[in-house]
Amino acid sequence: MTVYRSAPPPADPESSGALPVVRRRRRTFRALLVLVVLAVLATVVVVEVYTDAGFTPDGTTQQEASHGRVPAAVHDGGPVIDLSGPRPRSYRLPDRTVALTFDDGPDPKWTPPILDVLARHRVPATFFVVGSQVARNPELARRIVREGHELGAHTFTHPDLADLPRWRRDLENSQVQLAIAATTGRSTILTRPPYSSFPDALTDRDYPTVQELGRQGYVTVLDDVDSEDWRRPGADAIVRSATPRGDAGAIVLLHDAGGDRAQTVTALDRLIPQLQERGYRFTTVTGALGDRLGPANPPAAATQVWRGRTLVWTIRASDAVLWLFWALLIAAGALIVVRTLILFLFAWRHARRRRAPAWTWGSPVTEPVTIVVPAYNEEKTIGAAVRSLALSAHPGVEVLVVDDASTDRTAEAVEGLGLGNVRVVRVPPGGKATALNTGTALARNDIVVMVDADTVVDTDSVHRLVQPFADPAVGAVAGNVKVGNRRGLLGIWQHIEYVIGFNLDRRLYDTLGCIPTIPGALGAFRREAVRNAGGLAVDTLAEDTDLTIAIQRAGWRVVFEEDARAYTEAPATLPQLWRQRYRWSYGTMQALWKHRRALVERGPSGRFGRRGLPFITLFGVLLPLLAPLIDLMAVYGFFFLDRRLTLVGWLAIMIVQVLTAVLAFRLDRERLWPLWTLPLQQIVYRQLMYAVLLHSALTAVTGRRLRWQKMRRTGVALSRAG
Amino acid sequence: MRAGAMSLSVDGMPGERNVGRARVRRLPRGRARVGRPVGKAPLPERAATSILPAAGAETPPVFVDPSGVRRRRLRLAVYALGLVLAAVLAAVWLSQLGGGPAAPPKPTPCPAASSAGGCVR
Repeated sequence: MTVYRSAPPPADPESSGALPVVRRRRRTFRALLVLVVLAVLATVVVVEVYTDAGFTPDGTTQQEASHGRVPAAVHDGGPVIDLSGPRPRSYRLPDRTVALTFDDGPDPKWTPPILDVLARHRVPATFFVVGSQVARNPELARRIVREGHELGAHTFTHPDLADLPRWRRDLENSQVQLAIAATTGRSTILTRPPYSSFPDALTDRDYPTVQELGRQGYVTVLDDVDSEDWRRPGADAIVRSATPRGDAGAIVLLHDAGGDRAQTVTALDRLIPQLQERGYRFTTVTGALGDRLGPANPPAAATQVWRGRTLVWTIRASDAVLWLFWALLIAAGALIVVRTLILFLFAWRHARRRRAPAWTWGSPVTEPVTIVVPAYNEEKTIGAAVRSLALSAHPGVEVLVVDDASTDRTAEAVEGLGLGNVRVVRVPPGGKATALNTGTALARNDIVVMVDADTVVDTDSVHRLVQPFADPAVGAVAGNVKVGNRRGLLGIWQHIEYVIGFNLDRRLYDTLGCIPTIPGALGAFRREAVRNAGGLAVDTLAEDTDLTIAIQRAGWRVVFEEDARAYTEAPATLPQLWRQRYRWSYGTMQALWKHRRALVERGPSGRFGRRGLPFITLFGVLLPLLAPLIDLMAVYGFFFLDRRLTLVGWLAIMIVQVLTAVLAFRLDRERLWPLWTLPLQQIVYRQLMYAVLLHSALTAVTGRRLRWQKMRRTGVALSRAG
Repeated sequence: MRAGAMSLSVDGMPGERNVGRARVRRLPRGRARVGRPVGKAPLPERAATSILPAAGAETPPVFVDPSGVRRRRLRLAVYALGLVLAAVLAAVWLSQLGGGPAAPPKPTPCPAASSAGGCVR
């Protein structure tokens, strides 16, 4: 397909962007901006990975039994350990006193019913909360404090502290403190290390972390009685194991998060009255020890509240970003599935109908046609193109080459062919759209075929292309364009894309009556339809898309004729491909925006606009813009989420694409071998296409001017021209 | 219009069905065909130079903002947003990693008169 603009637009004298100093500065700013965005995304990932570290809510993981370095006062002492002073101290609860403790919350599902049970029995408790849960359920943390319970720290993400380096341990304890400060305005002096149990289960491995907590001013609260509710043994068993022996006082370990806690709720409702009947008093940890510990939740310092707010807001913002990504990903996935189903159904039906022996457009069209070939510096390729067109098997073919002020010997190359039905018109520089308008105006026939100068056709292509004009409502026909130069990966990838894009997509659009583009490489028009549409306009870079939409808005039908084949020269290098796709995507956006009024208009314009434009926008612009998320989230999922599930999901999308491609190739009667490059295409070509789309969307938003350069020709496609 | 006429026009009126054996000219279906030009009209490129309408040459390209105002405003807005994001990011990381670990408040000093066991912290 020809990408050309005969003369670059004059430099904008108003813009300072041409100054080298300004350009350098802007490049630096842009790089900094990209860095900031990447840093934000990295922070989101770090926060999500850090706070979503899964944990098993089991009681103990005994790995080491030795406890030689744990002082006897602690090992044989009570479950409340204060190591802040010079001598280790530990405390037991007085007789007939119970302090209920709940670990791992707050949990949006199970903490409220537990609080309800406690409130019904007017019993206070102590909640050892996980900081990331507090940040995500601030209202629950506030409710715990408001209803007279105590808050203790249970780290920020529930790791085994003894496994962590010093700085991580500090961070875990500091951040839970900050989360509590931000949500409740309180601090806490109580802490319970995850995976801890009774004081005599403290090992040499755990003890240094407890010492550290003491030095920082925490009181470590272990337990006397483990309800083992995390095993979900049934409410009866929980009640049994949570009941202290005799009249002994006890700190009872329960859980209000980490899975289904229905049994805990039921057990609690029975345990409390049972113990109360036996004369037990329920209190909090500090309440049980009188004034020996001081208040558990004194007000937090203002700096801690502010540091905590930053933490909580960061987590919420990260959650929101990730949620948005997932939502968009699910939307994109759903769109892809819908699109694939529609494609399969419609393309297959379309092919069946058109290939049925009874199918006909009407009586054969044998009217003479004029083939307009706009050309700008096409010396290398135009000879073969024009020869293949002039020798078309159709009565009365006239070829009109519009030479748009070429600086090479394009016109001479055509004249040198010495073909009788070929004319050359030289026009002043004006661009492709103007050249096509000139060609249409000078055409002697009412059917005009437009072909790019780098495109060769089969002998019968032109004849087949004009057959749909037997239907008087058809205003224009799109041909089936194929890649002529299929050498190298780039050629093969484009071949695949053309077969899928032109065959499958256009069949679908044809069935729905909203073909977005008649390719510049091969299309036929009634001159009247072009006139109705106001001719080709120069205000978009995709004059073909613009014209196609305008013709349909004028009430004409546009159809796809798969049997009219043309072989075009596709870009052979990445920069050329980039420029071509840039023009396509930017031009498509321009055309859609230009014709946006069709959405609200009456008559044929509105009928086309409401049916076609949303469809084209959704599947032609929005879905490709969302598609990069699939790759991004696949990478994220592979490293941080369920690796197998991610791989399966990614492969499923891959298989859907392979199936689509196979269908497209079968329908187009192409050999399947190029499809071996499809997996490779997923990790190079696709990303390039995203980048192009993103870039053109940005250009559209900023309103920047574009310069266009002509594609460099190699003349490979034309070796086919027989 | 012939009032009360029972016979139908032989030529066939548009919209009326012809009955009987009258010769009926088919109405042309579809669009009128325009035949090839007859005679010796000059070939277009040899014809006298005439001005062809240049479609929409004066309309500016879609999306393009020649004044650059939109671009300038957007650039400023994006830079401002970038600055805000950078500041927020710095605040987040500094508040979590700087300033040392957040610990519980230091306990109030024990009154000297207090007996052992009554106040240990």
